[in-house]
Amino acid sequence: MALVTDTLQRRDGRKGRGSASRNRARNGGPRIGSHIFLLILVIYFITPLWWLTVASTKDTAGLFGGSGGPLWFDDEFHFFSNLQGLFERQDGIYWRWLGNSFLYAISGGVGATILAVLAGYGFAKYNFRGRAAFFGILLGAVMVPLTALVIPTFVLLSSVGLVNTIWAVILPSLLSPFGVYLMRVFAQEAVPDELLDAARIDGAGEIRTFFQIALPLLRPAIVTVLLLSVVGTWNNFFLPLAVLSDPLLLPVTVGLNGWQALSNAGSGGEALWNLITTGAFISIIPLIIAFLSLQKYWQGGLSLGSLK
Amino acid sequence: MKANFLASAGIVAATAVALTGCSAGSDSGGSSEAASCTNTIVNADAPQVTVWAWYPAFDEVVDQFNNTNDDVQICWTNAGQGNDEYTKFSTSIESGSGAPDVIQLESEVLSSFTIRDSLVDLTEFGADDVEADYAEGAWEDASSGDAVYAIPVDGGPMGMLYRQDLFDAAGIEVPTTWEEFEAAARKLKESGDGAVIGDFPTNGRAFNQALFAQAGSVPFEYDSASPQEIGINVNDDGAKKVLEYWDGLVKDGLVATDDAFTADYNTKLVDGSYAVYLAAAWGPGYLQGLSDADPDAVWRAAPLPQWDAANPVQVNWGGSTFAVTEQAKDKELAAKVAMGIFGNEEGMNLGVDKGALFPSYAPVLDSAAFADKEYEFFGGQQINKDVFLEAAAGYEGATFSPFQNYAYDQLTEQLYAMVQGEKDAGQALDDLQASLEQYATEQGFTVK
Repeated sequence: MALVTDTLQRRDGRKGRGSASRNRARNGGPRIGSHIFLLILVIYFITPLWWLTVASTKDTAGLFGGSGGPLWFDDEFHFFSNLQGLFERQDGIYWRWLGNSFLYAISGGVGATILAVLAGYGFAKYNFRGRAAFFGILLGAVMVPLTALVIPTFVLLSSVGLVNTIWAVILPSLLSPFGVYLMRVFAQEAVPDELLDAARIDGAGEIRTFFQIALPLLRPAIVTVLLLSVVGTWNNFFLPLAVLSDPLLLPVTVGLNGWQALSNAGSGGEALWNLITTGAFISIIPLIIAFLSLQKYWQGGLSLGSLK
Repeated sequence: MKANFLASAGIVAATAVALTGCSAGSDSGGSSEAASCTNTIVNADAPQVTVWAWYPAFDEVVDQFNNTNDDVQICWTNAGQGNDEYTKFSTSIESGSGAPDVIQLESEVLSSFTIRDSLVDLTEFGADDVEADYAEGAWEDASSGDAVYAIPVDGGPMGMLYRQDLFDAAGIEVPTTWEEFEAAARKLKESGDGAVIGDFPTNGRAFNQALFAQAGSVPFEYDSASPQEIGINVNDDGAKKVLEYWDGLVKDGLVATDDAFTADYNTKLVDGSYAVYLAAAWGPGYLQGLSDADPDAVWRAAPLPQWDAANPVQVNWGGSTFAVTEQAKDKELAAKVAMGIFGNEEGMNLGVDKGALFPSYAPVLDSAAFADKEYEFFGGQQINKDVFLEAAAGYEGATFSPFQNYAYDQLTEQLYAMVQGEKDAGQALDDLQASLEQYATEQGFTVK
């Protein structure tokens, strides 16, 4: 999203802002200031990640009273014994949760992306009756947070008997109004009408035009929407919390939350803090990999947007 | 490139469909309850009773039960701890299906569920016959009037865990009354090594309530026989006396006011910021889970300080039970399971040894082995004999409201306002009384 708006803004703002920033760059001072500001931001954003990395190498006693303090390693290295704990605890249910998260994120993310591409392209390139009205409704839907829809969703799913099945998580995740909005904005900019007209004149049908002309141009936006919806489903917490009760169906977010409740419980509780931190650490690794490996598609978007 | 991209997206989508198809298939294969048993069923021919519970090491207890019972088998699911489980139970009460046959509930929430007619009165299935097998206070907590809605499993009689090393360094004797506790708190603060005697968490909920009860506060009168009537006296003299005392300690900076059960609180429990942990009998297990290895800390246990040393009053913090739900298919069989899981020495001993439970089951509670148990964490001290057995024996039970969760939330709100200096102790409790009376009336109760 940031990419798209960035490219758009850059185009509009070039005239106005360019000269001002060039002036500022000359006398060096503000640049040091901005670097310090960025450095502070980096520290601000990296610290929790660093904490998690360090915490995943500690046992529970180390987490609360370790020699290294919260932001440095202890003398003892417990990452592998924690990992072993994840395999042993409730017969390795953590890995089942991780698998569920993958299932929900990938099916929800891919499905949401496909729908968003189709709908966004339709909105951008076809004139049909009620387009403005439908797009208005869509914009309204963007404003409604998913969390607010959880209870109505629960009631709906309950009446069709889908509560406590995987569909209760996947079906609602398939809808991404924001993804549609993003695709529409991007398709409008990146797919010139002239190009489509040329394809039509050359005899390509609408379907062929879409797959062979429009889709390649839309790739950066597709990756963006895919990444956003995968991450959104992966991190979704409230929806699975509300609609699932079978521990074998939970995604990793809700599962770990259950362990935290267990660790906080006085009577009949169990301290699982080391498993929680290690589990959380492992659960973010796939996201990091996804971001890094899809990065080139994002960067591709930058140059693609500036072609016109 | 484009073809690749589409192809891989297609594969991902296909895998997703394959995966979903597969798990949906396995769900529809058997009855959904049988599919979600966490344990293995030993005797497949015997009828099964579904159980929700979150006790530690409960898998071993279930296996023990299933191996020793031919005529009934437990199908166990961990549906989450505390509120997570209660939410799911509530949902299944609303929808009329999905509840287990037997469910672990904390004593304090029992009346929140009896008022919704979701629990079975166990007296018709022989609960009266086993009453003598359970600690008196715990049994009282699980009963309402003549009805018995649950079988007690574990309790939380309160004591005081303290750092002997910090006390010695400051030259403090172990306090036995709250007066001595305050003196010790001053002395510790004056010794100036930064530690305070303890914490008064505003989100202590049952902990705060237990402290009030020690001075004779009886916050609620409620009997499930007349479910629409409730007596509310959260601002009685006992509660005010206790809260004024703690307000004084807070104002003088003698105790901390950190929220309980946060990472910060856990750290301070083990790093010597607090010299005393006012705890229930499950507290040692909690503490040990946080800090198994700190060689410098010397933890010991002592009885909870008293208001009147001549007339000690014992209080309880936490504890859970097994109840039978109205949705149970075979209620008699379910009742048998509820009474049987921990109602034998082998099962209860597993809970005590592996799960650090403080048993309500008398044959284990009163056994010499339990009394003589030495705790390495406390330097070999027999903490049950020294502290908790007496506390358990003296506990007479309490009555909880059918909206206990709301009452605790309101209590937390008022206590927070008090420690922020917005109001004094008496005002905080009066406001609590007013808000609870209003809430009860709005909910359709007749306030006595």
